Amino acid sequence: MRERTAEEQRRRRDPGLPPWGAGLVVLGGLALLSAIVAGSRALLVPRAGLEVPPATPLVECDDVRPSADAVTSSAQLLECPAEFDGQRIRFRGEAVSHLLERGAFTWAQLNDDVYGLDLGPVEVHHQPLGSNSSMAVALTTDAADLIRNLGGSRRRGDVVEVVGTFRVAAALDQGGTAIVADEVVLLRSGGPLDVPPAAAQRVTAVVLLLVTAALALPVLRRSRR
Amino acid sequence: MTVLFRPGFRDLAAIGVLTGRVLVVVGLVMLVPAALGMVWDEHDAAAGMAIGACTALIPGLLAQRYLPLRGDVTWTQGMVVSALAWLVAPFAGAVALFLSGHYGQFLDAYFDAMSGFTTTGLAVISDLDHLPDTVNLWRHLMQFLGGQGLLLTVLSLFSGGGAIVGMYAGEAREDKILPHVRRTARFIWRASATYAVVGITALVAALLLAGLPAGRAAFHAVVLFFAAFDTGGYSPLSSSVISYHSAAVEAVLVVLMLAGSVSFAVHYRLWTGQPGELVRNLEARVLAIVMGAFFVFIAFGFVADQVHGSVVELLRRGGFQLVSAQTTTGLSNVPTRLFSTSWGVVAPAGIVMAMTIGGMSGATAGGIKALRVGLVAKVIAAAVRRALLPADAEVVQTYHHGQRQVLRLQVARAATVVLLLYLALYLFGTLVALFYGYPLDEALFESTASASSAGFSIGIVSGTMPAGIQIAYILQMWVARLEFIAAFALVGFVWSMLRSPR
Repeated sequence: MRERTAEEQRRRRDPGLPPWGAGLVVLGGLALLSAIVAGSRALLVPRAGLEVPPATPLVECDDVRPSADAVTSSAQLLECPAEFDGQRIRFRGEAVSHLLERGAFTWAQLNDDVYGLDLGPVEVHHQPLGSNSSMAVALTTDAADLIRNLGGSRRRGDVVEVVGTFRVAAALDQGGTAIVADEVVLLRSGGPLDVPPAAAQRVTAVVLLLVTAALALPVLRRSRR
Repeated sequence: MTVLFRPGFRDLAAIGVLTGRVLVVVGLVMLVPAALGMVWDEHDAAAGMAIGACTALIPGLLAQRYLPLRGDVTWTQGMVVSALAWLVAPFAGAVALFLSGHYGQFLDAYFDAMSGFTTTGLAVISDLDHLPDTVNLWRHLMQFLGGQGLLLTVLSLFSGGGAIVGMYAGEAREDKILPHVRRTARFIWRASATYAVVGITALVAALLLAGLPAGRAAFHAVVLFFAAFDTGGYSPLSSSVISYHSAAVEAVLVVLMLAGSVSFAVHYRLWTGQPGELVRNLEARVLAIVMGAFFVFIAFGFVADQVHGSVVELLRRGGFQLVSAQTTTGLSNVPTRLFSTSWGVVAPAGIVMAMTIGGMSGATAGGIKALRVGLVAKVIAAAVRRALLPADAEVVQTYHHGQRQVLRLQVARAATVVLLLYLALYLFGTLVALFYGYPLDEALFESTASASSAGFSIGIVSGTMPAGIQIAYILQMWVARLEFIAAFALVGFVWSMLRSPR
């Protein structure tokens, strides 16, 4: 008679969950995850329901006519780079994060997305509407002095309009894609945002931290023994 | 006769306890940005982070308190814990992301969390440029935890259990640098901490030189270190590395990316004064050869398609992107849309091939891994030699990986099987995107970026991408991070749980 292995002997003592028991475990796990997702949704700050301006449709590259008379988007520049390379264009965007002064010129990052130009940051209206879109812009350092506010957490940056030459591989940046601007106009000043506190999240956080502390103490005591 | 045992209560309890430990570690790490958020006056973000931390800590602590862990933990249990941990940890991480309000659906937040933990770097977050630093720090800490290894972190902190080896291997780490796995884990932490001190200092200096104010330079240096050394690819800004306009910053990042993609076994040899390993090691040789070849590819593409005219531009743009792709980091110093609209066909093909192969095994990088590519190449070389030599000649193929080893059939077969599985995974993601109507070149690029954890996107990955593609990429990231075996173990475990008795 074949000798039973240690594993088989262990299995005789613990024959395994019946399928319905296993199913309960799986369903219970899924129910817990669903409850967490539902709870998270309930804690979200309600969305403002602002009307989103329609995105400017992209023109087919064969039909592109670069011009400094109309505003060109970063999406259009990146979709048809060859058509715009070396051309004079007009670009509008919110200055974000930082300005990098490099002697006679300064680098800025201008966001021309719905957050920068229209609705403001997500923290204001709580409507996630896709990723940022931006373009690197080289300004003269004197022109960069127009920008006093930079966009970030709870801050809206200045919105500026620049006219300059688009370069797919700007020598100024050792091949980086950028607009080399020679005209800059401040369209709208930014500044700090007044964001009401998310009271439900703060209260929930305090309650859950207390529960966690209550659970942690016996576990810590047991581990020290 | 082979018998598949139905998992019992003890199995589930052991898995629950060990998975709970992973959740406890994730929860504790989440408390760090929560605390910093209070200091930084980002109280709402800190609250969201605390809620996410408790979402992980509460079930983790309940499991420690009420589930029994008796006797030795089996290899299978360790494998299942590995697979499960890499599903539940991103779930906990996603709660904090979702509560920031920057995600339309919970699935979007889970996608980014999985991308962070698996050090992929694909992101669907909305309005990253206005994200609180608290949440941004958590995005990068997920890469750090995932890059170092979730289970490795747990093994460093918790004691006991025969599951150690199973869990360690389930996380696709086969290098036992030191005789005991826990000592291996501690070496990895020590080496990483050293790189952190040196790397962050260098980045702070480079960012200050670039013109960033001191406070921002410090924050960006810390998060960029996590992104580069753990080959994660998240950046604090939507414009990635472009916004720094700094060759010095990019140079430091290149060194960190390469360091992160070198296996910790090789780091150990360098650490203990054996620099020759870098020359003799099969993986190092494969990487040197493929990177040289792909660089020529990219250079040829740049010249043929008139992308960049000078050597400086070629090195800075092409070189950085190649290193970022080969190490499967995903940081970018050009707008990645240009891969499709400006770089022609040849240069992007070089990028795709680099992502496909990836870095070294036992490192933070993804992809098929240089070791498998090298072993399969040696198998092919041996077959050719066998064909050319007399019938009774014996061909013995050797390779150097830590020490000189004979290429055995079992090792060759394992390498070939996993290589084929990776190719199947790339194909799977490509087919899903084709089904949704994306062009072949974009579908192939994005699928490879996802499954190899490289994280470049040329446009498919976005807040508006179909849920079907999102789920496919999540599966790709999860399966690829585990290198298949632990994922199959979990599927088999659940199947054996649910099958009816005979």
